[in-house]
Amino acid sequence: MSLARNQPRGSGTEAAGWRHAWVRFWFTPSDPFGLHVLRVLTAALMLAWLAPLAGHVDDFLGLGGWVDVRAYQELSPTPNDPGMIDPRGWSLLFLLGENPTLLHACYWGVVAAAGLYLLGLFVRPISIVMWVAAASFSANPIIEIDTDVYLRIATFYLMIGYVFMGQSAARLPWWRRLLAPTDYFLFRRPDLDVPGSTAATVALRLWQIHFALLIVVSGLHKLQLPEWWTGVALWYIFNPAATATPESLTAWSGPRFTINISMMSLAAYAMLAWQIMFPAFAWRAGWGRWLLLGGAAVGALGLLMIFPIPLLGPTFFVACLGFVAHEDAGRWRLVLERLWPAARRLPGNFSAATAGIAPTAAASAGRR
Amino acid sequence: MSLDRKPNVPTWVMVAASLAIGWHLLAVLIGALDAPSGPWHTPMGPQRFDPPAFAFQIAEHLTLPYAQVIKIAGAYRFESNRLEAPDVQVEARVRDASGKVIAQQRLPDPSAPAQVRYRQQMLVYWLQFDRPLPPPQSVLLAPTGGEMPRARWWEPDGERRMRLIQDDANAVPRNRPVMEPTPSAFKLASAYARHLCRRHGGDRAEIVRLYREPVPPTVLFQEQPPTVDELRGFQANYGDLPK
Repeated sequence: MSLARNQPRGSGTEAAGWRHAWVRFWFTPSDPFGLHVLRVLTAALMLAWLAPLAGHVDDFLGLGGWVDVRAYQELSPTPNDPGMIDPRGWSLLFLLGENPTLLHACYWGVVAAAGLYLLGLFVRPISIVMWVAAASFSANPIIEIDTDVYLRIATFYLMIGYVFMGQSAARLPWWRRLLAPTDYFLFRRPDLDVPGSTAATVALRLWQIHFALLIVVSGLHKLQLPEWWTGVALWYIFNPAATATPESLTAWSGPRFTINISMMSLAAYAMLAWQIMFPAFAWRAGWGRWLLLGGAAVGALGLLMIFPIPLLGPTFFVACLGFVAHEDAGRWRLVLERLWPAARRLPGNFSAATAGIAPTAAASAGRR
Repeated sequence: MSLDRKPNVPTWVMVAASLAIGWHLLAVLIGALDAPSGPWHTPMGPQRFDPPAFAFQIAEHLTLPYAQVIKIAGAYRFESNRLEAPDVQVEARVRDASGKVIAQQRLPDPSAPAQVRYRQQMLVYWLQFDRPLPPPQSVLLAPTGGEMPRARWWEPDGERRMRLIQDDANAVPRNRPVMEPTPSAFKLASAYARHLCRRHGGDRAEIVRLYREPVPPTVLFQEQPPTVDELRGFQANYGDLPK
């Protein structure tokens, strides 16, 4: 917010300043290329999330699985027991009952939809399917893992972005407003002159604020746990109770033990500081970018290598990418153009040809 | 590349969107605050404490229905943050009506993919919770026309072994501390037993919980490293749970 020097300060001027800052933050159109990148990555994560469940669909997802109908009822809160399941939770899988055929059909349908989402086909309805699937498939809080939470958030904001993006375009057929069949096709030549999208800005800003809150709260939660205060949290990753033996423990003792435990406590506190101070650098250019992406990369690599949830690392990194997807989308687009010169020679705008709209007019009509 | 840097949406759209954004972020923020904290160490043992009253009231009366629909407003207090966690595993034996073992299962399954194995680990994680069972203060009588109240508790069954006893509430030992599985943990174990019986066509399933304490780094300051016997876990047998 800035004020002209010779303007008297007053509450009206300050209010106008805040208003302009709000409008600038939320409604300035931005290059939607960053949103498309996040969509592709999130779709890939969805496929990686769904793939391991292929042989365990009945166990995890069905009402005939580990947690059946009776368990859903019994595990609801009572006056004497806080319970495990919120009876007000929903899932579209509940409509399938205990029918394994329908359950498997639904599962494979969602896998196919994730593939289409990655390719950028029929993105508008499929973005809704992706969020509903992420919410429905992770309805059981007993076996919920961190990745489920991240994917629900990511798919929700991508849905917001794609449902509203391009709706203000004039002369758009109703079926394209509804389906966007090839508007965001992955192998479509990226336009150089792309009008900005306010919907993309809103979606990305919501993504950023929500994930910032998640990271901070998760960091603050760690402060409720003694292993993080004492700095020995990482010790338990390297020495899990399941595999600890006298020999494995003895290997840690010796002259290097003090150095090792000190480095682990330093790393634990660095993680805490990075998480709790996250909003202070996440939106900054320059050193903030390096700290954001560097920390995200180190965290993702660490999670991938030593944490029992291999998908959490990449998911975490994609969540952090949302903080650069807004400002740096244009730079990514140029990098893509340089890496893929053949893109310049691809056939012209398929969708524009179908709609009978000249490419230039189509680009300026805000379809993307 | 040229971008129109000025907002190009009508004012009424910006106002409506701003209200929606404000509402949504309020629901997300309150969802993060409206969660019990802890467990904190107290003279009565580890206890959870209620969320702040303002967050609870706003959630209950305002934002909770919306948060439950969108399913993205959570507390973000991930169980994965608890790294000083015990190792909990389950061995299950499915029996037919004649008592013959027709299937065995171990959770987490070492041969399952990592993500599946972690979800199995989450399932058995919730079976670890026991709580003290206070003995009855006097002899209990059955209500007129009713049945005697029953109780279930862990009874020692060898070294580092326990077996779940379900009996008349008056049979609860009064001369020593007694632990029972939390109601939710027992119901979860029963649900898993039902699932195994459905899958393998069994009549009942014996569920055994294997538990190993986490090993803190302070053990390395001892004169001798822990022995195999000291690292050995505990077994708690729920017994045969029906289909």
